[in-house]
Amino acid sequence: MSDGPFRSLPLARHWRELAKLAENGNYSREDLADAAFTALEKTWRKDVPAALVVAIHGLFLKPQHRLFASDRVEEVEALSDLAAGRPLGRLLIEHAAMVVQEGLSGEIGMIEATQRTVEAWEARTYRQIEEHYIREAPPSLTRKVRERVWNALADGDRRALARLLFSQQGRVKRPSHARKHVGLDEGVAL
Amino acid sequence: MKTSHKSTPDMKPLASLAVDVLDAGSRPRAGRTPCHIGTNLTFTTELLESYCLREWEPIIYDALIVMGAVEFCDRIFRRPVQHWGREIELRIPVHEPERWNASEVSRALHDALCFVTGDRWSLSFIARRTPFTLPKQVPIPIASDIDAVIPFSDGLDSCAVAGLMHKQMGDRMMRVRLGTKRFCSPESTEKQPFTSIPYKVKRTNSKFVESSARSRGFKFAMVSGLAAYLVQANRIIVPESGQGALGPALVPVGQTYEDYRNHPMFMSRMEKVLFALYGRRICYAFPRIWYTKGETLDSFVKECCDGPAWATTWSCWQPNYQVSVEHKKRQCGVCAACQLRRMSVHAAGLSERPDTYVWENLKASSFNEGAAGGFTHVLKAQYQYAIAGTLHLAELSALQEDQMNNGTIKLAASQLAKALSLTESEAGARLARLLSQHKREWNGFLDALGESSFIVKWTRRS
Repeated sequence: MSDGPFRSLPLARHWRELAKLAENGNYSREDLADAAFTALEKTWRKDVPAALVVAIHGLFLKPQHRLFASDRVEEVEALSDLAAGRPLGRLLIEHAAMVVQEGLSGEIGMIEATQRTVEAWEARTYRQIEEHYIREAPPSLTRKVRERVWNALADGDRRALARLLFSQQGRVKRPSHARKHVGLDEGVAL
Repeated sequence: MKTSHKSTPDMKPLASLAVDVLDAGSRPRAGRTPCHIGTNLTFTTELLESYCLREWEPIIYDALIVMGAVEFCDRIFRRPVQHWGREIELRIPVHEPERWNASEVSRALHDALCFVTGDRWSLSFIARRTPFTLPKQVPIPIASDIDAVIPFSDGLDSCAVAGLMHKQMGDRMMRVRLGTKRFCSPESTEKQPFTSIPYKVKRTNSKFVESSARSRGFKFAMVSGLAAYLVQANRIIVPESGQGALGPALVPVGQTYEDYRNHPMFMSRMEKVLFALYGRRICYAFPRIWYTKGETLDSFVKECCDGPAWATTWSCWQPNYQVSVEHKKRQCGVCAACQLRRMSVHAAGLSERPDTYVWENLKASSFNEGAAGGFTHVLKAQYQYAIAGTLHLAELSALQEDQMNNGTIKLAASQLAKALSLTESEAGARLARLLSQHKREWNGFLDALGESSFIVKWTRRS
C-alpha cells in the first residue's frame, strides 16, 4: 500500500438523501428501506450499461448443457469491455462469472448474480456514508445514521430489486424522495 | 481536449480525453492534447544507460514511452466525482508499431490498463519519425543466473521482503529501483542496472490534477517486467504483504473503483502483456501475500542480519510541504499507509521514536492534539485522510463479521484461487487466516491506544 486509500468521494445525491432521512427519527425503517432501494436502483441505471444487462441476460438464458462451466465463465468475462469505466458494471461481471462457475444458470443464476452485486455495492456505500458522517457530524448523530442505514439495508428485499433491475421492461417509476406523511393516521409509530 | 461520446439515455457518457504523444517534428491531430517527448516526457541518458545491459534494444525505449504516456493521461485528466471511469484515447509513436499493434499485445494491454485504472482505454501505435539511439552504449556486466527481479522503493515491505528473499536467493535476485531516488551511492563508480526509473512526466505550465494514480500499478509492473526481460529472469517478486496487496480491493468505498495495483488479478493480466510483448513467460510471485505486514516485519527483524534497516524506511505518501515539522520532513502518521505501518510495528513488538511522525500521539483525545507541538498547519484534508485510513483498517478487520460481506469474501477467494493457481478452499482458508490475523493486530493496536484515543473513537468499537 504505497499510497491510498484516500478520502472517499462525495456522496451521490440519492445516497445523500438516504442519509438525510436516517438523521430524522420520524422516518420509519420502511421509509429508509424504500429510499435505499431507490438509491440502489438509480445507481444501477447510471452505472450498468443496458448493453451489458442484455448480454448477461442472453448468456444466462441461453441453453448451456453443451458447455463446460469454464467456457461459460470465459463468455461472461469476455463482456468486460462493455463495462470498462463502470465499476458497478464490472462488479456485475465478476459476480456473474462466479455464479456461472458455481453451476447456476437461467433466471435463478441471473438474479443471484445481481443480488450479490447489489449487496457488495451496499457495503461500500454504507462505508462511504459512515466516513462522511465521522468527518462532519457529532458522534451521536453518526451512531444514529450508522445504525438506521444499516437496518435499512438489512431490511431491503434484494431479490425483488434484482428482479426489477434485470427486467427487460426497464425502470419502474418510483418516487425520488421518501413520501411525506401528511394524513391524520400517518404520524410516527408509537 | 474533451469530446462527447454516445451513450444510452439512462446513462451519462464517460468523460473523455484524447492525447497524441509527439516525437520531434510531429504535430497533434485536431482535438488531441499533445504530449511532447522531450518536454512532457523527459529522459535522463545516464539513467537510461542503466537499462543497457547487453545491447540497446528499441523495445526498451518504447516500453518506457508507453509507461510515461499512460501516466501523463492518467494524471492530466481529473476524474468526475460521481462516476469513477473516464475514456482515454492515446496514440504513441514507437519504433516497432507492428509489434505493439499486434492483436495479442493490444488485447492484453487494454485488458490490464482498463482493469487496473477502472477507465476505458484505447491505445494505438504509429511509427516514430526518427529512431532514438542512446549516445553511449556501454553494456553493464551482470550475472547470467538471475532468477528473479524485485521492484524496490523506500517502503517497509520493500525492505523486509527484499531482505527475506535475498536470504533465500542471494545474488540470484536483482533489485529494480522504483521512483527517482537511486539506491547506489553517488560516489560509486561502478555502474549498476536499474538504478532509477529513467523518465519524468511533466505537465506544461501547470500541475497535474488527478491524484488517484492507478496507472502507477501499470508503471511499476511494466518496469519490473522490462527488467526481468533484460536480465532473462522468469520471476518478478511483488514485495507486498497481505493488507497492502488485497486490502484496497476488498473494502472499496462508495463509487471509487477497487484498487488492484498490487493485486494478483492485475499481475496475471500483466503476465499476458509481458508474454505478448517479449515472447517470454515471466511470472509475478507474491511470497508474503498471506501474511500481514506485522508478520513480515517480525520475520525480517528475526531472520535477517540487516533487520534494523526497517526503521529507516518510509511509508507515508504525503508531500514535504504538508508534513514538515520545524523544516524537517516527517511521515504524517495518520494516513492509511502510516496507520498500517504503526499497527504493524506494534504487532511485531517494536517501537519507533515519536518524532518519526507529525501525529506523534495517537492516544490523544482529539485529532489536533495528537500533532507535534511545532506543527501549525493542520489541513482539513489530513483530518479526512486520517478518518479514511482508520476506517479502512477497521473495515478490513470487521470484514468477516458482517454478513453483508460474505459474497465479497467468497468472490475474492475464488478470484485469488484462479490468479494464484490454488484451490478455492485453499485460497479461502488463507484469506480467512490473513483477515483474522489483521483483526488481532488491529484490535491489539487499538487496545494499546486506549478508549480515549481519537482513532478508537472513530471506530465502531467506541
